[in-house]
Amino acid sequence: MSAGARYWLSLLLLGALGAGAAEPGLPSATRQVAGFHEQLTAIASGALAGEQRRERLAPIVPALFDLPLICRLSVGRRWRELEPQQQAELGAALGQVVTATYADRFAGPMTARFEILEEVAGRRGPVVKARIVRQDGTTVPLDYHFREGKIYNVVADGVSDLSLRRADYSDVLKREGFEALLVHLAAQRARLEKENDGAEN
Amino acid sequence: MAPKTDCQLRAAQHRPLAVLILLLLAGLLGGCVSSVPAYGPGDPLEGANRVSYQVSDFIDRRALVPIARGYSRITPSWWRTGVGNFFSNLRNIDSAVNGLLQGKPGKAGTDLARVLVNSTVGIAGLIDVGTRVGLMHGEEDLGQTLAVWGYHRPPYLFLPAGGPSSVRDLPGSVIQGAMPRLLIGSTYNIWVGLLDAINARASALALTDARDSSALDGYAFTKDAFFQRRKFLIFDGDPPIEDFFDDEAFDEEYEDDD
Repeated sequence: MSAGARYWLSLLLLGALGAGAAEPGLPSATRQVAGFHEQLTAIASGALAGEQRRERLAPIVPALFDLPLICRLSVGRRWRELEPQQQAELGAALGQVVTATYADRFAGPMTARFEILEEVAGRRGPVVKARIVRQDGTTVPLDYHFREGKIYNVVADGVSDLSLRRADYSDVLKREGFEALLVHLAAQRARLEKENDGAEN
Repeated sequence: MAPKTDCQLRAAQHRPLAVLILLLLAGLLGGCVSSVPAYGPGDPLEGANRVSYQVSDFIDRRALVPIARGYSRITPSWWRTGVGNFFSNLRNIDSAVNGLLQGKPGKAGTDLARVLVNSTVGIAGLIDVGTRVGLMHGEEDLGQTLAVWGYHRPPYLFLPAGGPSSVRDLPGSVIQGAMPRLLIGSTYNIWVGLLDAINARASALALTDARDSSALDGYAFTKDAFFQRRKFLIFDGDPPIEDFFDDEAFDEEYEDDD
């Protein structure tokens, strides 16, 4: 079977967008996370090139993650100082970075597996509690925080991605300004894509 | 935080206790006058910390990382795991003591049981039998004890060749760094210290690689990750997660969430 046929068959079996093939009857947030994990596992084991991984992830990331909200929360008070076009540029840049990051993290067969533990009510919406189980049995807690049907924060082993991003972006904005933030994000994306593509060469 | 080299351990042992107490008091005073939210990353020494970070990062990339990568390439994973288990086992005693100081006798007992099991069945701590039989590492330390006792917002420190820390957490790190030497005694030498340090650096390569690919500002990223990790440990794996919706810029738009 050609690589292209495998790709399309994978999409049919697992679902390219949104929730994927998780069990019906589960809460919606849990279904979404389960579907996302299945997508990542399939991408990791699919022997795909970097560009192919990014192409598969490109529609999944904005469908699952609330990128505009993540941008606003990451930038903080300075968000209102940005023009709408700047806000849109930042959202697009963030989406590309998130896509490239997942493509980089899941570039090869996984030595660990995902497990979903439970869904609980959080302050802003459901929180799906999951974990990564390594081959040696050790686990890494992974919590997905939802608001209005999309993820706005992922907390891995107690470390909040949103908090890291906020500390990072706020510092660059304060010290160097908005244009510099976009330049840094573009450079980060390019670096990740080079690593993605370089792994196959 | 990276374990201390033998030279640093010797320096720590000869450091007058009075200086340490003064440092703690200065840090406590500095932490007490702050009016910002608890557990947040206070950084009144940012200028000096950034210089320290840049110097440390330069040395790390050009010396420690290549050594650690080479070490990872030539040693099998079971070796690196065993070395890590050996030194971690020695530090379990510190965790047990601090578990007691925090009023967690159960955790303290578990840590002591770990030391006993791993030191015997686990062949001098090389094999982490404790985790396999359900005796989980308490991961307590003096910095967490001070946090439980009320020291919530310490000034951040980035130590040259030591990594991220704080005025509150530094004494505990010194103690943990000194534990192997104190327990092993005269057998401990510079090579044992180097093995501890290099093995620890090798085990942290994945973390620093992730930082390098994710961070726009490595200093800010490292500081925030450090304080988040400390809060995670202080709250025994169930910390309050800040979601930043309380920022005054968003209050009127997210009132319906409360």
